[in-house]
Amino acid sequence: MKLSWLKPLRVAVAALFFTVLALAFLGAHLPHPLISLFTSLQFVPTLIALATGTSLALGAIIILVVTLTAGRIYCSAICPLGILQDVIARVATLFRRKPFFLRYAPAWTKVRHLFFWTTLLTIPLGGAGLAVAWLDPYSTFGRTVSLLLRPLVLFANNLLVPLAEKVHVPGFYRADIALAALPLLLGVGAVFLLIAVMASLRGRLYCNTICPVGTLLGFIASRSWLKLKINADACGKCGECLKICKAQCIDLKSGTVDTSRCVSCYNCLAACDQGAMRLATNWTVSPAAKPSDATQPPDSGRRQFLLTATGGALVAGASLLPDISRADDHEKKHGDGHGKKRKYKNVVTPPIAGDTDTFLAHCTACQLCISSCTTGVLQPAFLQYGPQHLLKPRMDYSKSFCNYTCHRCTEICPTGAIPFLPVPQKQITRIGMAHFNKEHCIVSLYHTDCGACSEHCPTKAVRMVPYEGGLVIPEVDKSLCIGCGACEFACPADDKAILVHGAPKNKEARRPSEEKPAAPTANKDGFPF
Amino acid sequence: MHLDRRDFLKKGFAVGAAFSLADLSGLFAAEPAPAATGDAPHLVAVRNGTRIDMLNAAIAALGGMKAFVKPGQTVVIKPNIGWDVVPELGANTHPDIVHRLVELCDEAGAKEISVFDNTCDAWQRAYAHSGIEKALEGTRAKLINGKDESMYRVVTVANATKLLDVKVHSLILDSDVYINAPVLKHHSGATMTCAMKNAMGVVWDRRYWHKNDLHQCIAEFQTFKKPALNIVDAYHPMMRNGPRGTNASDVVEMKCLIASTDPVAADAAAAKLLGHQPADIRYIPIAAALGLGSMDLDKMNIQRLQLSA
Repeated sequence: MKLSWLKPLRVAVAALFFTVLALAFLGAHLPHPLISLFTSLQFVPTLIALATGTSLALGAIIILVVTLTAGRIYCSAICPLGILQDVIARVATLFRRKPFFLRYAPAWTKVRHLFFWTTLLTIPLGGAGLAVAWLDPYSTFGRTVSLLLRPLVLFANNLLVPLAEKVHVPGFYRADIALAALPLLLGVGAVFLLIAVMASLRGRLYCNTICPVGTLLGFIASRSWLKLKINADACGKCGECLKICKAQCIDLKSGTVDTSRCVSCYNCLAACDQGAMRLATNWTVSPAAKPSDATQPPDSGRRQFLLTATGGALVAGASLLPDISRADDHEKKHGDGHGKKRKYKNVVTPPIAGDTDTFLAHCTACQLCISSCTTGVLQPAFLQYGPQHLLKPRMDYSKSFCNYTCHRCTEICPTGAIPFLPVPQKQITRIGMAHFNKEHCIVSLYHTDCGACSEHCPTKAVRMVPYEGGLVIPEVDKSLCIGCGACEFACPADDKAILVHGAPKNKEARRPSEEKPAAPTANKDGFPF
Repeated sequence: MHLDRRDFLKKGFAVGAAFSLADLSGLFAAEPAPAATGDAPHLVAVRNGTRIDMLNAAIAALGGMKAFVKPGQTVVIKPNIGWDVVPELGANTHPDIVHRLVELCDEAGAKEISVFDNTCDAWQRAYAHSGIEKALEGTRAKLINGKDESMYRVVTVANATKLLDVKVHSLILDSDVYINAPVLKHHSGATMTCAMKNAMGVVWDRRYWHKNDLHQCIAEFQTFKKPALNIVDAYHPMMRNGPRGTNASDVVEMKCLIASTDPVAADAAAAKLLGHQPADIRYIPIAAALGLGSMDLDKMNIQRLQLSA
C-alpha cells in the first residue's frame, strides 16, 4: 500500500497544533475549550494532571498507547517544540548555499539516559521542581513564545494600531508589554538558542538526546507494533530517505531504522519511490528474524542504563536547592504569628484553593495562564518562590489586580496546578490578605478624602469608616478579603498604605451577603428638590 | 420594537416621535417643552418612565439634541463603564441610555460619535459585560479603547491649586461636543459619584487626584473642560458599597433621570436623590464657589416631568 499521504497528513496536524498553541501563548483571545483541546494531548501536563488526580486527563495515556502502536507520532505532530524545531530547520535550509543533508549518526544513549533519569528522579525528590519544568518540551515551547516572542509581537501590534485606525480596520488595540526579569529572559533565550542551533545543524538531535519525553517515547517506540522497516530486496540504497530524515536514524549499511529515535514524520515514506521503506507490524515477525533484532537495539545496554541512572540521581540532588523565600523580617515588624512559619508569605499565587507547595509542585511554568491573563496581573516569578520555581506565575499587584469576575487561568491550566474554579467559587477563594498601614494612608497623611482602595474592592472587605474631621479612612474586614490586590494596585500613596500578603491560612472568604435591600430615600415618587 | 422605533424616527420627527412614544398620559399637554433653547430650563428631572422615554423627554425639554449637536460636528459620549459587571448591579451607565444618546446625536447630524471610558476593571470585559459594546453594534458610534495611554495628552489647568496639569483623552480635547453620561452611585471615597466625578474616566492618572485632594481635583477639572450636556442615569442608583457594588441588593429602583448643561446643578440634584445635602459632597460647593455652576436648587429653573402617575 502506498503510504506517501502520511507525510502531508502529519504536516497538516502539526500545523494545526503549532498554530493554535502559538496563538494561545501569544495571548490571542481564543475560546478556552479550543486551547484546552490542544493542550489535552500534551504529554507532561496531562501526566501531571492525571497523576495528581486534579482531572481525568487521559492525554498521556492516549499518547503512550499511540506510541506503543505506531511510534513517536506525538513528537512530530503534537509536540509544539518538536514542530518548532522542524520550522527552524526548514528556515535554516533557506540560508544554505550548498545542498545539505544529515547522514546516519549513532544514538547518544548515555546523554539520553542522563537527562531522562534526572527528570524522573527529581519528581519523588523535589516535586515537579526544576527538571520537569525546564525539560518538558511543551512548557519549553510555551516559555519561548510567551516570554521571547510575545513582547515582539505586541510591539509590532502597537506599531500597527495607528495604521489600522487610519485605514479603518477594527480590532487592533495597544497592549501593555511586560518583560520578565533580564536573567529569566537570558535563561529562556539560552535554552531556545541551544535548541535552535541543534535543530538547524542536526535536525531532531535535541529530541533524541535532551528531551526526556523523547527518550521515554523512544524507548516505547522501539517496541511498537508498527515500525518503519527497510525492505532490503527493494532498496537500491539511493539515499533519498537519508536526505530528509531529521532524526538521522536510518542506517542504510545495516538496512535498519533506529525506531527509538524515529519521530514518525513519514518523510521517508514520501521520499522512497522504490517502495523499500514501509510500515511493518513488529509483533508478528518470523521467529528467524528475532535474534538479529534483539542483538543490538541502541538503548538496550542494561549496565549503561544503570550507570547513567546513578549520574542522573546526582544531578537530581542538585536541583533541591535551599528555599530562600522563607527569610524575611515580617515577624520583627509585626510580632508573633506573622511570617516566620509560613513560606512564600509575600508571594500571591493565582486563584487556587489549595496550598502553595502543591501548586508549585504541579506547575511546569509553561506561561499559558500568564499569556491568557485578562489584566496582566499574572507575571512570571523570579526568586519569589525560590530558585527552583523560576517563572511560575505569581500575582504582581504593581502591574494590575485580579479581575473579580474572571477565572480564565483556572480554565486553561493544563497540569491542574491551577484547578478549575467556577466564578462564584473563585470569588470567595482567598489567595492573600490585605494589610492596611494607616501611617502611609493619604487620608491620615494629608487629611483629604481618598478611598481608592475601597472603591476598587469587589467584596467591600475594604470599607471606609469615620475618621477625624468628617473624613473616612479604610478598614479591612478580614473575613471578606480574598486578596485580589485591587486595593493595593489602586492605592495612590508612594509608599503603599495597603498591601496584600500571600499564603493565608484560611482559604475561604465569607461571601458578600445579599443583605436587606438598600433603603430608598423618602421621596418615593416626587422630586426632593 | 427596536426596528420600528428607528424607522419611525427616520421620518424626521425626532422630538415629536420621542414624545409620542412615551407613555405620557396627558402630562405633556399641560407642560409643553419649550421650543427654543433660550427658554430651556436649567435642569430637567424626569421620573417614572423607561430609561429611553425619560431620556427622550429630558432632551426634548432642553430643546432637542440639535440644541447641542450641530450637523457635521464630532461628538464624544462619556458614560461610566468602569466596572466588569452586568447592568443589574447599577455600577455602569445603562446601555439603553448610551444607545439612545448615540441615536439622538446621529439624528442631529453628528459626523462622528465616539464612546469611551478609562475603566477600572479590565476594559474589554467592562465594555462587554456592561452591555454597552452590544448596544452600540449597528450604530454609527465607535467604542474606543480608554486604556491606550498614547491617546492622552497633557494639558495645563489655568488657575488651579491642585490639578495643575492633567493628561486628558484626545477625544475630550478634540471633539466638538462632549456629552457626559454618568450613573448615580454611592462612592466609598467621595460619598457620591455622578456628573463631575465621572470625568475621572477621561484622564489617564486618577491616582494623582486621589493623592492631591480628591474633591478639589474633581472640581478643578471642570474649570478646564465642562461637558456640553450631562445626562444622569438614576434609574436604580447604587445606595451603598459603591462605586462597584457587591450585588443587586445595593441598588434601589428610583426610575429617575436628570439632564442639565450645568454639572454642578446635576450633581446637586443627584445628591438630593441619594438623601444628601449638596453642600455635604465637598466637590459640589467647591465647584459652585469656582463659578462652575449653581448648587442652589431652590433658585433654579427646574422642569420636573412625571411620565406616568
